[in-house]
Amino acid sequence: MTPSLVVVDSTALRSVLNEELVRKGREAGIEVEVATPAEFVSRATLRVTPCGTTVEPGVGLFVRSWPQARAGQSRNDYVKGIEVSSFLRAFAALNPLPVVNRPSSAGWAGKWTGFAALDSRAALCVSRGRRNGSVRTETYSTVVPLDSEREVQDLGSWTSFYRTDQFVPRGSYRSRRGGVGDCFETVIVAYRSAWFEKSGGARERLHLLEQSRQVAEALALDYAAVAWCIGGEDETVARIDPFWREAWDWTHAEHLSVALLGGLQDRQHAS
Amino acid sequence: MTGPRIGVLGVASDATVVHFGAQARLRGAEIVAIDIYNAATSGDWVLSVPANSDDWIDTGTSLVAMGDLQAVFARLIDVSEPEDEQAGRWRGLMSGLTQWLATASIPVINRPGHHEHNSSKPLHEAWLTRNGLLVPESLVTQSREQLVDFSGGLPLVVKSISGVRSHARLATLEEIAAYDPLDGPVHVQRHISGDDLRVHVIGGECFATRFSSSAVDYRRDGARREWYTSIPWRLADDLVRLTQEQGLDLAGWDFKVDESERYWCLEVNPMPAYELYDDIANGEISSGLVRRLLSAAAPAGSIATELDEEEDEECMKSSY
Repeated sequence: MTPSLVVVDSTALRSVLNEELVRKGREAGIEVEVATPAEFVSRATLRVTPCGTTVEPGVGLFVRSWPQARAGQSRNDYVKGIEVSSFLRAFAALNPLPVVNRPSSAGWAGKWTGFAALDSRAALCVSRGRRNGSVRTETYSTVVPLDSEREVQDLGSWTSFYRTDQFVPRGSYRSRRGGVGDCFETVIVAYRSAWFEKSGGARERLHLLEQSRQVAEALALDYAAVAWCIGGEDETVARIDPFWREAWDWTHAEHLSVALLGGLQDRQHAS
Repeated sequence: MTGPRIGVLGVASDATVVHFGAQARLRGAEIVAIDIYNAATSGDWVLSVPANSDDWIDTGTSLVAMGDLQAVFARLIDVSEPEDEQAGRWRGLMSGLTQWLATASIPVINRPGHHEHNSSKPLHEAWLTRNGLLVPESLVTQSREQLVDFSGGLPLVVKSISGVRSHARLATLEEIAAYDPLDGPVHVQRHISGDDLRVHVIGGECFATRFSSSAVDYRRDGARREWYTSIPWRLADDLVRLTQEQGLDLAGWDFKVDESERYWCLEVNPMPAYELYDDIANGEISSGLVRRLLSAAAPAGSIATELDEEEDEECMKSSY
């Protein structure tokens, strides 16, 4: 039987969300299949003619992750992964059927670039006129500036920490002002649904749900995790991740699968 | 007295970077060379997003105050390998520079944030077709049957699917029939016989160079004929418009011109290596680039988007 939706996932074929999508899909009469990028493209075809573009098979698509470079991988396998990714991107962008986070001319998921500061600003630019949070200046440097308390990410090890006044050795860092008193709220957005990652997300910050929806919409994302940094009265967009896969896989899989399948069906009916 | 200060950002071994620097200097610009290889491997930097006048890069041999730059010609190429122990430093420098260039309020060729479909050739070809250009029919598949069927008994041009540098070549019928799907998906395009044409668009100007060669890749044919030429005004208008639509100031458009003088678009390069074509065009492309950068060059020290406070709700002033 030809599936209606293929979930493409290179890292966790048996994730709770994938299983939930298959189960909820079956209940709703939607055949959902999970495949790796290489498996999917092995049976995909894309043809560009003067009359237009055709893709086969005719299935909806949810690309949860792209092929990643692996330690010890040969150069040949590395290039093959890039080729598969590029094919998958074109297929997802040109597919006439619904695609979660359809790639665009600008990026691999909606208009998302992967640069937090640029994406945050782009999202706020598009939704100008609506109070929609703000963003903080970021600094890329080999030494961490000493001008204030900073939230720091080591780009070599990917570890994050706060620098107050301790010495940080020379390295490669991304940092922004922020103190140990700041807290984070992450909002999961799936089409028109939005909820806090952690149950008990502050009631006084319910407005972040709508603001997160606006941020996702501005970047043409159907699905994303929007992380907010909250320090005092300030609420700033810290990160927008259309491929987020953390603890929510366990706690939100049911809610998320319903929202995603519902959103995909709405899109199909609308087209 | 020195001319306007143009930053040239790239790897010092990149021939295009070297060529632009030399040509811009000949045209009176003061060149500030920033070797990102040296910076990534042994230098230091502070780069803000949005860009700030106080930012700097120390390449190990020179300290560059980014706020002194009045325009930038950039070719950001990450030459690190996936397992490079310097990968974190490359990541930091490339991310910082990409976002710095995207937000700096000085002319940048090409400013990051432009279309990225050239890194997915089928998506790129679909975009070109949708925008009214004549594009040879193409197929991406991992099915031998589809491949043989598509070829229709004719050889096909094989190209990479991604932006990975590769040489397009003509696949024979025997090679097509022997394709092993285990090699992964393949991207093929109908072969168009005729001359090759490269058109560099810089802002509103077009610079065309034409090649006559029997090779699939004319660049590797020492016996080719080459000349500086012009293109129909209607095509020129389209290319200028489509270059701008992609958010590019500089683009290198590749065409095949068949015997009926029809222009078949193969691709548009957002970071073209242009020195070969510049030599044929007697430096006209470099002149166009320098003109473009200097026509909007900002006074020194005006790099930053204006930020009165740490938190900023203003839109970036770049084209991002």
